Amino acid sequence: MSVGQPTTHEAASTAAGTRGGGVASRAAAAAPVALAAEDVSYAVDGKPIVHGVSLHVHEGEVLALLGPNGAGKSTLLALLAGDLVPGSGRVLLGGVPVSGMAARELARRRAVLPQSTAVAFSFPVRDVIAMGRTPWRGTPFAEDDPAAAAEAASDADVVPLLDRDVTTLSGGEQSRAALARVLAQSTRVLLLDEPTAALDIAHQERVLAIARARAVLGAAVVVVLHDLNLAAGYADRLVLLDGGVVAAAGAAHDVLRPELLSAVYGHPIDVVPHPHDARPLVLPRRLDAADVTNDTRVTGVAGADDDTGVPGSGGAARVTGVTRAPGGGRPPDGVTGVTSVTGGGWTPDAHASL
Amino acid sequence: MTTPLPRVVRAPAVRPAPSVLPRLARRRIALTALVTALALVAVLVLSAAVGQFPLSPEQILASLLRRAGLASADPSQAFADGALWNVRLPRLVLGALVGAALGVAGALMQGVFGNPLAEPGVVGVSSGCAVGAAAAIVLHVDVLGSLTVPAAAFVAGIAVTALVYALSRARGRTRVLTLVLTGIAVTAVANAAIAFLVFLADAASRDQIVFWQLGSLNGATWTAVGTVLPFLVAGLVGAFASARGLDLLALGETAARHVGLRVEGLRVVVILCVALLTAAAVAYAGVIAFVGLIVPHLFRLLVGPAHRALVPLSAVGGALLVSASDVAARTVVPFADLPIGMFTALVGGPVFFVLVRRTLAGGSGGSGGR
Repeated sequence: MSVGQPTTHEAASTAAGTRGGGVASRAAAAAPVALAAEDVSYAVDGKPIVHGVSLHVHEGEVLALLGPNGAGKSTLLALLAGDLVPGSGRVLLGGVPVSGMAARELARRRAVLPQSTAVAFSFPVRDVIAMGRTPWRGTPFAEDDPAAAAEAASDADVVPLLDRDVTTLSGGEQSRAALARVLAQSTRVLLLDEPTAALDIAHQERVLAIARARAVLGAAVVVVLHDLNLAAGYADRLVLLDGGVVAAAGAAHDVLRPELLSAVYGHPIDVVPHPHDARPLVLPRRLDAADVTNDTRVTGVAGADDDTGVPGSGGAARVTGVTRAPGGGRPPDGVTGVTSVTGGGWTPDAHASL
Repeated sequence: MTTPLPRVVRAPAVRPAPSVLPRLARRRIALTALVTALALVAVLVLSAAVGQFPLSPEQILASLLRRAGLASADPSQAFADGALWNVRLPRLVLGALVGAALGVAGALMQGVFGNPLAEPGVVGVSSGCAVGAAAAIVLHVDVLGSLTVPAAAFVAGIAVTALVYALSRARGRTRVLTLVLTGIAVTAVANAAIAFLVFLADAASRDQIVFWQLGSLNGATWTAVGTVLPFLVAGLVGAFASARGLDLLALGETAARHVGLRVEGLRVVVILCVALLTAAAVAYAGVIAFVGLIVPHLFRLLVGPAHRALVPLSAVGGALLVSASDVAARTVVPFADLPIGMFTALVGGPVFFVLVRRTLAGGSGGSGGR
């Protein structure tokens, strides 16, 4: 593994430089598997949340878990973390089943950034970061505590917050403090559940650059994301979940296809090349107020079509049914280079025919 | 052996590494401990001196020296010695022990619930212990000699603590509202059980039970001190052993597990300790509420929430509060021994109210006590 990058930023840009197309994923595929799910299923009250999912995360790889609300992303992450025991199948961490592993041993192998980062008592941020070093207490690696904590704090940009009471921080600051704790844990596997949810744009990019930097050092990173463009920009591989099963997996170009995304998210979605690096850029179509209600005060038409599409309510079949009240639609053209939604998806023609 | 991810090697000039590790506020902790301990000693001396038979500090010192064999016997002081050694000292030592037990039990409960409102009196654990103790007395169970009553209180305490914990937790968190409601429900049932036991009891047992519900150190003996001490020591040892784990638990149950904490194991130890400490306090002093609420809260404000400092300071602070309340109980109304629980509740009630208001206003619905 490469040690010696002067800063994580440089490490990240180095990684980005070598990553065009599928090169990095192929390189990563040659690296050992750090974390594997083998045909994992998990059900609650007989209702499958995750069903028959298999995935491998290699050392030096950032893998993004994507999918609509309720697709099973967080449940899959909890299964990978060992928080939940799969109903069938198994999760292997460095080749060892997670289910039999002691909490301390697990904590030395993987760190988890949860969605909820609230802390019960008024600990200063520096104490919270130090808690991430707990698994290494009593080992020779405890010597690294000061350096690892310092690095984590500056990576997560919480150095000015070190002496602040963690319970008085804003949501985004709290989330960064939690990230610093997770980074301080210095594990070879990182599981991040929506690390960018509460963050501003600069910190969103920073968090994923840190994930990349850790991957360059040899870590395997799994990150749950809602922002498909962040996934396209920073992940080596994308796994798109839909209803608890893998709908697509692979490089950004293979997963971020407009017809697939439109079907999975139940919403018309365009994909264009990013102006700077030609990676896929995902653009959801904007809705009008008339798309989400039958109220004539909004639609301006008495007795508007009952079948007015409600986005997100029902997968692919629903997308084809997206209709708009006359005069309410915005022309979908005017964007050059748009890869149009085709096939079973929502099409400009369908709109034009109204 | 599992090894950490290697770190990035940085030129220090690029990013000077800040010192990020916790700065243990040693000076602050030491100062707080010193002031609290001195106040405790002062209150204990005051407690030994005042009463229906006033003693001067010189008399107390002389008596202590005589008992230690460092001064010759003085028959003229026989009455003073008797008052001091048979009445005052057992009472003030028991008061200090009970206070320490309640303070630590409060700190432990708040830690394990992740909620600053958890307290043996508030959530009904004290009442539960009282049911056990009352049952042992009324039913004239005497299998363990003088240990019978505290042992029965302990068994009931474990059951009630585990019950409250199970009832008030949802998805790894304790909401303030749930906790308070659970406390009300558990206390109501416990009071019903005690009422029934009072109904069953003969006159002598009835008096004893009424004392508990008020909370009093009246009638303290050296036997009581000797019985409470092992419970307190065991509880304190468990509390110290759990201190670091409780810090991690503040991250939430799942996150604590993620950093390697065996949450279930910690929970069992802490619940056992709470039951031990509360049972020890309740068996001889009755239900003295709010000590475990006020004391840890105050020290958390003074020295921060880290349990390694909070647990021992809560012990000293709890001893101070109960000892001071006892002095007040004995002296506010001449020739009357007021219930000590009255004074702790007088301070504790308003503090509890302010805490509930503030926690509920925190916007988090009280989850995690934000």
